[in-house]
Amino acid sequence: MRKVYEDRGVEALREVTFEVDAGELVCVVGPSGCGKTTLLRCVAGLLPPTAGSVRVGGVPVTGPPPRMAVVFQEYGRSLFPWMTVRQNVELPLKEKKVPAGRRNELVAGALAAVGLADVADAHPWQLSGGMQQRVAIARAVAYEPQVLLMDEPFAAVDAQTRADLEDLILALWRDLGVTTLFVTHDIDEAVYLGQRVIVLSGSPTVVMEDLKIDLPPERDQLTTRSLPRFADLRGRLYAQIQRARGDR
Amino acid sequence: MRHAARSDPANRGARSDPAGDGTEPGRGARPGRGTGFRVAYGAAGLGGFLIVLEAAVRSGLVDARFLPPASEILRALAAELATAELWAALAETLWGWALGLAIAFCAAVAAGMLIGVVPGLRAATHSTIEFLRPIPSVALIPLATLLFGASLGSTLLLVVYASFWQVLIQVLYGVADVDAVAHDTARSYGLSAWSRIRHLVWPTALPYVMTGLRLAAAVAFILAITAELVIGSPGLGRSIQAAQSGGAVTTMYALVVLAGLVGVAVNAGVRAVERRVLAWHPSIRGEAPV
Ligand SMILES: Nc1ncnc2c1ncn2[C@@H]1O[C@H](COP(=O)(O)OP(=O)(O)O)[C@@H](O)[C@H]1O
Ligand SMILES: [Mg+2]
Repeated sequence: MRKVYEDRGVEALREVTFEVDAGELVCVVGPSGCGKTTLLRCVAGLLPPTAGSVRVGGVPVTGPPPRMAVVFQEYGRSLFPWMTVRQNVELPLKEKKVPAGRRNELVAGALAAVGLADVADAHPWQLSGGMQQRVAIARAVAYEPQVLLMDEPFAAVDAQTRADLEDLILALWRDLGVTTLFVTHDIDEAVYLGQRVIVLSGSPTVVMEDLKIDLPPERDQLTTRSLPRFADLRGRLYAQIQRARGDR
Repeated sequence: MRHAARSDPANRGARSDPAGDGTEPGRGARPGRGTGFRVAYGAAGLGGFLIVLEAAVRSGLVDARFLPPASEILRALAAELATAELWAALAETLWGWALGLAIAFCAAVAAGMLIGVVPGLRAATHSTIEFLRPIPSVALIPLATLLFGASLGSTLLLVVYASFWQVLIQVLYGVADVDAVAHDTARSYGLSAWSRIRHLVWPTALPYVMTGLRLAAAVAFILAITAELVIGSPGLGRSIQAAQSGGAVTTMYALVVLAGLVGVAVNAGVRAVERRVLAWHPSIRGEAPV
């Protein structure tokens, strides 16, 4: 697919084609401004592509597909400040007409999974950035999506929280078997999380590399990151990204 | 940090003025600047003002025929408050005010949401609104007299016209302020148009709506008194007019003071509502623990 923002004549994506298998966790990396957010918004059905198409489960995307959840980069703005944490997580379920009993279960389960069960009645603005991001993740998890899109979700949290959240995502992905597209600008993070990493070039944006991450499926912050293979893959992607920058 | 950029309507900026009004929450706990202190300062200021007024008259600086001493005005006010006529007039004024404000508020919120939500309607109505809005309500006095004579209808016409625009403009600002990411979130989670209005557009607009209500409540009160004064619809304004033409200058002042007090009470009431409704808003909430 291709995307041009007509109003400003910005070509955000030149020619980006890839597939994600059901149940796969794929990371997308690329220099900032290369169109990662644009790509995600197209996949989410929030933005029509200029040319080409997006298909989810074989069905062309014309609007936001059902059973798809998005965790936005600007998590603070994506939570409603007039609602409590619980209400924020619950709202999409109410909209889906999930019966009250099941709804409570899902909300409680999702909040427990991200470790926020005890702040369910707080408002988002009473929480730290990392906690807000976890609320956004809990909302996505409670929604029971088949497809999960995440846009640089950990860009604004500290290193320790970030490591915890990465492991949380891995655990959720493993438990729920949800197809995940994870956008990041951090190569280490992409290698650590992904089964595959797709590297986007700088503008004009195309897919530069589609790399299978053949690390053992059980990942651990310490051991995985110190594997020689991890360093290999990381080095390879790093060189690619450098080239992507250089091309611009 | 995001709220500074996002949901803080510019016209609420004035609220951060620490001495602006005694009702700003979240600051009361600050040592030396508590609510008690501010009330005390306010009362001391008012007392000082009354003493100066009293002195000006007693010393012959001002002619007592045109401005009776403050003590006499207050005594006249007390006497008035003991009469049934005064309470009836006050009730008329407040009824005209409340009914007119309610009609204007509901109509403006409905119209504003509709104009803001339906694509294209904003552009289509813009010029009409910009034309009608600046027409001063008092310019409609002849029309009101023609249509309703000296009755509640006249008061309502002026009150509704004046307060409608105050609310409508704020609703339009509010509806336009919906955050793009929040909107994308609502769409991606499959919220229907109605749910988006209810759970996103309306709460976003609410701080603006409250500002509109506060402005409209003040304007509505002014117009209610004006209609009674000028057209002679029943109420406090007509009583003021009657006192003046009957030569009861002290009573006239007493009624003016009463009108002022009611105005203050109206403003305080709306602010109290605002604080309840917007407890989550950055302009209201205190700095949060957890
Ligand atoms: N709504 C928009 N209108 C016009 N141009 C946009 C819009 N959103 C993004 N762009 C432009 O598209 C390009 C890609 O942006 P984005 O997708 O946000 O990149 P990334 O997420 O990789 O940092 C940038 O040049 C940006 O300025
Ligand atoms: Mg981005």
